[in-house]
Amino acid sequence: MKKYGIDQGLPRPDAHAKVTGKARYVNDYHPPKMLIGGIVGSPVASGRIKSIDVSEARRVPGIHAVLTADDLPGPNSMGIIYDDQPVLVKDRVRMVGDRLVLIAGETREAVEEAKRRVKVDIEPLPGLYDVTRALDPDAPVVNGDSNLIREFKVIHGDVESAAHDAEITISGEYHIGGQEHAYLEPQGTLAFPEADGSWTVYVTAQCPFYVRAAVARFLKLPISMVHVVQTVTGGGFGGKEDYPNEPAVCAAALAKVTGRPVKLIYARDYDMQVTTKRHPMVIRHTLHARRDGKVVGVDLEILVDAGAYAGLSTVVAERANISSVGPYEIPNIRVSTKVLYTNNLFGGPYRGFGAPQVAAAHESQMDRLASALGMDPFEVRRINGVSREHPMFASGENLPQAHIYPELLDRLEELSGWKQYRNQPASSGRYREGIGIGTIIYGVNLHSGGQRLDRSAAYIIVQQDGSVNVAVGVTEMGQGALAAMRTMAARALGISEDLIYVTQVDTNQVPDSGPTVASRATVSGGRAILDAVSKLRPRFLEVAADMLGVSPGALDLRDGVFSTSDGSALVSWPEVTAEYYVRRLNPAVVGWFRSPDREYDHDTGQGRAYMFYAFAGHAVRVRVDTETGKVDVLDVTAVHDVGRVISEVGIEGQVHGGVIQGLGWALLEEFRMKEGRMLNAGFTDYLIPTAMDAPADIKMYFIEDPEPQGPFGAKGIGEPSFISVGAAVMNAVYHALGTEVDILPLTPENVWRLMNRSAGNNAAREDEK
Amino acid sequence: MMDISFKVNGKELHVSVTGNESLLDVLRKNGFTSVKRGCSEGECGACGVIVDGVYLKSCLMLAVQAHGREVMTVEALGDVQEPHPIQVAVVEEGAVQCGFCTPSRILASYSLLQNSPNPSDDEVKEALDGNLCRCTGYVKQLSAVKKAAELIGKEGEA
Repeated sequence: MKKYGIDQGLPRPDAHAKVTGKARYVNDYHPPKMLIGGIVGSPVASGRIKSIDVSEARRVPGIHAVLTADDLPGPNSMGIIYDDQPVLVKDRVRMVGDRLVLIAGETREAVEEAKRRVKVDIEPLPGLYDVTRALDPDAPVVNGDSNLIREFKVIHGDVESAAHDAEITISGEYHIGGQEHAYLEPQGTLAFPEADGSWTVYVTAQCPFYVRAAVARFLKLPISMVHVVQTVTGGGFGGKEDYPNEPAVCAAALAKVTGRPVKLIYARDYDMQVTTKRHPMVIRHTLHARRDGKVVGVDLEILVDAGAYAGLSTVVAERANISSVGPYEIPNIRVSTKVLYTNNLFGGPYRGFGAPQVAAAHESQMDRLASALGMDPFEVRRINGVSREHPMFASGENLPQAHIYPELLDRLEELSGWKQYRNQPASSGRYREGIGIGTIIYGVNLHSGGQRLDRSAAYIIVQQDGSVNVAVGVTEMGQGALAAMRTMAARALGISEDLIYVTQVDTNQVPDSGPTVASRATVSGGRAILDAVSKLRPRFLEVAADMLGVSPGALDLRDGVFSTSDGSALVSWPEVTAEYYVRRLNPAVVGWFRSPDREYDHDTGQGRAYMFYAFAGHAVRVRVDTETGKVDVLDVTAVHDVGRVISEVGIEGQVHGGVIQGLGWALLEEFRMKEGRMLNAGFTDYLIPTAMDAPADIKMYFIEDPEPQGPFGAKGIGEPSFISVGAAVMNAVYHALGTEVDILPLTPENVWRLMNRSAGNNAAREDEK
Repeated sequence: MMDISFKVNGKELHVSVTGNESLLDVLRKNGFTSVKRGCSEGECGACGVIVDGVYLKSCLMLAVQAHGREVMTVEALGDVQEPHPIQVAVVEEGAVQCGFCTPSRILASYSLLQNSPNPSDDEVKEALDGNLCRCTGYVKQLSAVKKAAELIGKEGEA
């Protein structure tokens, strides 16, 4: 029995194509005369190119193009915000896998053979592999003039005086690991010139409009001449936000030179090595508090390991920066978030966008404070959390949603069985059980720093038979956007969902709608649909009223029937749409959404950071094997402030997926690094959760307190489903072992180190580094 | 190059292959694109097919090894008009998100249910352990297999 949702309960529109294997991903397209693309990447993370010899590679039969930096048919510049990244490296290598040569050939085998025959001579240079050393005077400068790409701050009140007045201070340095997206479909693009001089690009991507801009810029074409089609996309999670620009530009370069379609699909090991990752962060976090549990100040320094190129790291860091205080009203705040170049993996967007790392720190700190004061973790959160009486976020803004956080705590405490499990006598045997929580605040949609992109379109055409085409600018990447759009369009119009057909993003069909990120698809796509419907619906009501001889104001359209309130006059939706066409009226409209303008001071982090906020909380129960350090998850509870559920099946899928991905990050997934090389690039050694790792139970509860700015009251869910999972795992292990936890992932090795350190061997972790 | 022939979904396929081409390569080249390339090292499971009744990963099998054998992909199981009960169950349970891992997981489930019509929860988990999914958290996939077992059981009674 359905508990939640405004949908009709239909299967998602792409389900049948996917279960029958007919859904076409980018690698499933084979236009005539297509060539296969390939990339030769640098084997070292830091060095200077002495020579690249491609003469042998060019002689391989079936090879049509071998391009070095000197042969590129467009500007050799790739950075999305900073101009710090080439398409092909000419001189200085800064990361393992840095592109040196592009190849196009008839077959994959020919391309592989040509790759093997490229001779590269690189003089190794000292690299920077430890982000905490990035600003040392003797640290190698990775890119530009300084390793500091940008610093973000939050300054609120006076943290120095809070420190002075505090009765207790809790400090920790947290080393939080990165994460590979591990979307099952690797990166890929198919690019080709059309006969009329325009270009078509098929791509697996979250942000087709980014791809279009990048390709148009590279080919020096007007934006209108580049047609980007988002193919069925096999997972994104942030990994297909900005990164697809890179394979797209490479494929376009090869297609430009050869005049033929070029498809470039990444092999898994290359994909893992070079594409963007969740940023590893080092977080130095100090809480100043009173003995009654009230936190009076927070002082934070966050080091973000961006890798060798800025990419979108500054944007990620801006969210980390303002999210780092958590869902608490703290009167004195100082945060410094430094985005730093290193020769490590390329940092970028990943579900949560910097928030999970800072949540791991702020939630661990809250539990340490609770422990120091002999309080329950829920109690310190109730004392410090935002509420109707204390609605202030770190940005200084008073949150209209603040009253939801105390409710979330109540629900989480109740549903997780907290009182029972938390008060179990501590076990002393080999296996120790614990329960921990993590709670977060999440700014839905883009940060004010990116508000110029926070817009969205919906193009709706009503056909004569009553069916409806909806094209939106937000993408389906697996999360269920098509289904959500279909539901919202049907509900808003007042007709059945099976009349609505929603297309994947095609840049020729809808205006640039910004990126599909920041849990914004439902909100921004939905608002654009509502805008379109608000313009379309009156036109049809007018025709229906005319047909019935009543006034339009007397009519409503519901469940596909126009009727007066007393039911005396009735006409069906298809009868009206047919008549509408007979009358030759305009059946199409573009709906538009733009988020409200927001003032925000980037020097102090004060102002209106986001359009609105959502809260989330997780409770995780674990059992730790103290002999091996292995952590097993017994159950998980998720409570989400979602405004309104659109689809129950859809939202459950998001929560399940977010939880398991969060558990993977917290327990399994670790970059094994050596001088910038990911030693475990591939699914054989980079372990993500399998069916065997699914916990027996994931309990969930959705608080439905409608958000006035959300369509049908809805907020986003994609990222909140992930963000506080890691923090809850850390606190559960802390509870189980009684040992402070300041590292993620909690692999058996790391848990074992933590246990050893608490046994008096404080040097253990330092030694192991 | 070697000339080989094998059956795919009941139809004979005659192809010339090199000695190092995988079954995955050859299937995809011949239009069986429901078989996905996710890693090429036998870990992700997106390339699963059934060969002579046994579920296996086609990226780890040389095409020449398929000579004379019968290969089944998800295309043979059912289509949009007439889906197989497993496909129905996967759709109804909402066990599809991005869909890239879906065709091979359905084949892994089919193989399981052929051998064990009423599998326990643990059996289902073990059977799907080789099919990575990054979207769904597996929960709905496990319930879909149980539901499929029910649907197939009912079909048998009818």
